[in-house]
Amino acid sequence: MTFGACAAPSPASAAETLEGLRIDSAATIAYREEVHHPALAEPERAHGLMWVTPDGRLIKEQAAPRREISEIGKDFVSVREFPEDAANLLPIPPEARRMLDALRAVMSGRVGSVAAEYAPELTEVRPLWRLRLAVHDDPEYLPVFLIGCGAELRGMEIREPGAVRRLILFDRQP
Amino acid sequence: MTRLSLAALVALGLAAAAVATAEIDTDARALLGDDGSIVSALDTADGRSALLAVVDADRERRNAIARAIVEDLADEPMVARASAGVMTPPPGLADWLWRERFTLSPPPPPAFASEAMTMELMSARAALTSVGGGGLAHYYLLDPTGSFRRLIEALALAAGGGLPVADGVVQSLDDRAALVTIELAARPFDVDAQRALDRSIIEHVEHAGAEAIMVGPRPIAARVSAGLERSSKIVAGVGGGLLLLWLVAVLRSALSLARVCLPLAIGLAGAVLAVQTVFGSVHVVALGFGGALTGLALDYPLHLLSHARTGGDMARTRRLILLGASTTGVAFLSLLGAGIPAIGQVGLFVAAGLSAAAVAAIAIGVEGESRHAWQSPRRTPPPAIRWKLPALAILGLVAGAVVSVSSGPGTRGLFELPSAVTESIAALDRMIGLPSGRYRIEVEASTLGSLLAQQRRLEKVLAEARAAGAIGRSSMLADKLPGGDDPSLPDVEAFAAALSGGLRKAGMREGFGAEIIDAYRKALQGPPLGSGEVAPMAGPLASARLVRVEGDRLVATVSLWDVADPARIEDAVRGLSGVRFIDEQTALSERLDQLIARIGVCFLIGIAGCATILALALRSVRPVVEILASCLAAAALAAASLAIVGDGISVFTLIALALVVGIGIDYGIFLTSSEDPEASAVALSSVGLCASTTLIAFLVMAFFGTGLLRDIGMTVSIGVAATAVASSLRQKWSVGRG
Repeated sequence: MTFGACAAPSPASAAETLEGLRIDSAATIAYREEVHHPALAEPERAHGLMWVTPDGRLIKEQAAPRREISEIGKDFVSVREFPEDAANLLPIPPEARRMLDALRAVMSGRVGSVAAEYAPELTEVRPLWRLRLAVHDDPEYLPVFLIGCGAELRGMEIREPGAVRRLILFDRQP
Repeated sequence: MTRLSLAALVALGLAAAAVATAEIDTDARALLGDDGSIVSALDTADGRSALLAVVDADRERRNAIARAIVEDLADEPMVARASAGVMTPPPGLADWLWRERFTLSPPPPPAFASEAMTMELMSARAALTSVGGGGLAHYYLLDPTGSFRRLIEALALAAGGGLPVADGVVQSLDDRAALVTIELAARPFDVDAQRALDRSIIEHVEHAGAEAIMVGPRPIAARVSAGLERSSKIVAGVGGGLLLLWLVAVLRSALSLARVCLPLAIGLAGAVLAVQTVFGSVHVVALGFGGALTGLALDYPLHLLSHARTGGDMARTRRLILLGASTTGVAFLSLLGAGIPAIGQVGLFVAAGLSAAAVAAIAIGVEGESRHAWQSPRRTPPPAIRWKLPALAILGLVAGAVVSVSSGPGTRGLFELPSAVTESIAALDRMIGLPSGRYRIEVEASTLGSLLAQQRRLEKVLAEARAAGAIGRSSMLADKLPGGDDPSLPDVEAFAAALSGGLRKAGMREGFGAEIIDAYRKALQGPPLGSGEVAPMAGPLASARLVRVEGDRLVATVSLWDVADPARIEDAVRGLSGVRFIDEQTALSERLDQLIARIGVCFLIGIAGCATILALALRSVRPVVEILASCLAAAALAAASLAIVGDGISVFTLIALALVVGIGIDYGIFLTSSEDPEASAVALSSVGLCASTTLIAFLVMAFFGTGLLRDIGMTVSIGVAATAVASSLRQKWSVGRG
């Protein structure tokens, strides 16, 4: 999965990168996802749509490999699986809370909140910039990376326990 | 006047010292001691749990209120956790479940078939792209037996407790209420703090336009205590007012009134300081109950005034007052042996208070009090009778028989639940189907594996009981977990052989097999889950009423619903090792019976001490027999009356009976030891004055108090009236007095 080429000038700092981001929180975004794990010869792939509801819940409607609609709130994730149409409400475990919070904040365009709750660090500037979001008070917590070009957020990389790397590419810009 | 001024200064000084140093203790454990299973239950996970129902027909509105309450409580130091939805798993739970998966969810033999493991690995891969399973998929990939996945799915299913969830908020079965579960912080129970918290939560809900129903051991205990306090204030206000009016009417002198009240004030302040010094704090029960009993201290200055105004022998009166205070004090000091901190404090409080008041009354004296014509004893005392002791013996026997055939003392709790509380519990029961509060089963084992095995055996027994209609349903940890009876797992080599080839078929790297086999080996080699291994998760497991750690044992509660035939269930589980059927009401009755028996033994010892002191002081056995016969028969009559028209004998009414004995001894000393008719008439007048003040105070309690206070008031009123009448009748001995 590639996040595309970039001709925009490199950002000078993490703050400048975040301040320059243009995110339309009302937009419905098409995404592609790749999940890498040491056990897998090939990554798992998925795609679908994402959007944020006015009350701040992130809806992730996965079309393939299996249809699934997830509603990510502050404390709970509601998952509806198809074709069974089975719904389940799951409390978000502490291990996943910050990652999902970051995802919701970014998709909602709450860049200020991201800057306040995480320690943004610019790790790459060319050709795409990569912004590492580490948790202020939890150095052990696995980081989230924002990947973009100029004012565009192209995607995210989320590190999860068990050496899982989740790459999310936004086909249309959020 | 000088003595009075000095006494007023002493009273003020002692009161100031008492206020400055006394530490009021409301910890309910002091009532039954640290091993008291009744009240110390407030300090268990169950005891600290509470449930709030936000009742409103509009689901969206009630959910919003429930969420707002939870947000508010997040910053409340008295609350450990609050949730309107399924409780969020605590940090580390996933890792702990992973390590212990084979104990909690042993894979069945078919899970080790090569094809089954391949299918499981493919499911694990698919979980990587699911929001529901994504966070745990790396564990799923390491466990081709599916043990961990099934465990997580089963726990997620059980998390809602069988109740519907709407917008992340748990709902009542009748869709009328949003439910908030509250786990209170592990602090000692404090009535005022708990009431303040409960009120703020309820006001928040009501302010938002909904109805609040809140139940839980601590909120209920706080409401009971608050009700008692309210009732006590009414009784104190009305009783105090009437008593003051009566004393003004009788004494007709401000100085005399001061002579009566100052010893009481000195006695109360001295009692507080004595209890504070010995126990390090003053329990609210000792302060309230002991304070009421110390009201007996009014009798001492009244005796002095009455004798002074009727020309009685003052030196003898002072001697008898000291004798009365010392005998009553000894009777109450015996409560120190009851082994219950709050009850022991009541004993010390009364003994110290009465002693201080008696000394103060004598020290203040009656200087300036003159003979009052209107108070002169006009009536000739009744003649001595032969049948007094036989009549008292018959009365005592009949009353004893009535008490013995009435419901046992243990059938009453320490406190009664106000009707508002029982209505709240009933309303919540209709909404969510509460399990039985009376019956439950406890399973105990040294390891979690053996505990689950015991529960699975119990499940079969309960299924039979259910089929026979003895029980509606049950709930326990084992029925929330997957897994069967056969925990035998293949060795590592057999597991590796079954796995080989499966990885490639599932589209996984062969090299990952080593990690899977290593994870399997570690799970097999894990030590049995004892209390030490469960301890890190003890909090969350206990708050979910699943398992708690007690020393080196694990204890799990099995909740029961609709118990129709408890005897059958008790019989059925009797043969199961480590399984106990618990009837809370019976256990409570037994505990209270033991408590009452202990207090009874203490009083018997105290009365024996009183008898010895009396015999030594009066140098004669006959008056001692007469005094004790009068007050014991009066106490028996009061107990029988309570058994017939009251709610039976409780711990507190038993102590009230002891007060009857104490008052009876005091009256008896004056009436029985009066040698001539004139002295008898003076003593009769004095006792009449004392009895009238006592009756005013306790009749107000009987008529204006509720529950416990009403029973105490009735007990003392009947007992005091009976003991006054019995003591005023003199026994005619056939031979000379000896």
